[in-house]
Amino acid sequence: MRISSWIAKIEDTIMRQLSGKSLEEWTVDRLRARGARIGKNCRIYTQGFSNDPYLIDIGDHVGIAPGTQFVTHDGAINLLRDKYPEIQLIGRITVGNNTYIGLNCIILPNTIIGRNCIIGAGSVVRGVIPDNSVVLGNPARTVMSTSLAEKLLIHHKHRLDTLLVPAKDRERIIKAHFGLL
Amino acid sequence: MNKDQDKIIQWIREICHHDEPELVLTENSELLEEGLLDSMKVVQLVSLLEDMLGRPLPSDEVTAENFESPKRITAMIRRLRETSGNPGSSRS
Repeated sequence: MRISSWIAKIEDTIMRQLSGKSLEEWTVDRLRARGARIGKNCRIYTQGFSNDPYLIDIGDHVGIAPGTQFVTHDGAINLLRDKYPEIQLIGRITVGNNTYIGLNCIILPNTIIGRNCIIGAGSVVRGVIPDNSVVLGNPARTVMSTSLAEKLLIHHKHRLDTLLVPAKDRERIIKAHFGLL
Repeated sequence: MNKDQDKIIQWIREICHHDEPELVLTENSELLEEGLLDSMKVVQLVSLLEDMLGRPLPSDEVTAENFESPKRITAMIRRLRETSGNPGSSRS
């Protein structure tokens, strides 16, 4: 990484600290300032956005886990760089409302992900993903409806309603559930 | 005897064995309500059902209604076979 990139990163961290915002709030603000359209109540935990965030549309209540990359340029075009020095292949990315994108996914250019979708961890996604789909894999393919995934999650034997429980009680509940007390 | 249903029950038992070694399954066992399946187990099961069917299982068939119980899964396989006229393979 170049020194200028390090300096920019340090500056960014200082600015965020001064703003008093969480990293995910700061990420959303910065992306919007650079032209990305991002809806309400999104939780974006990745920094993996291309240099052209104005090509990205994200709906309301979208969750994006760490490590996910939004790719709006096709790097394979480098193969033709000698013949066509200025060539680029560029694509937009759209994510519908109430969709969740898991850890370390790669969202390729020219992709439209529908509403109420779940993109499984590590998926490589390109093309159109219909509403209410659960997709997995590389290349990602639809494996089930979101309604089935919802039932699987609700009735999962390790479901614990502990998100809002104070940290100390939460640890006790989780340890008890897994027989670790 | 329903050979397809027996095979499906056996596969589910195998897929769940690590988490539920003593699992007792019947044709009416509630696979979702009892928390026996998770998403990766469903994907494993779909792969086995595709072998049984001899072709990919359309993703719009992988729904909560069709995967409610071994009986419902068997009914789905039977219906898909009838609509395609394909007897499918018989993985043992």
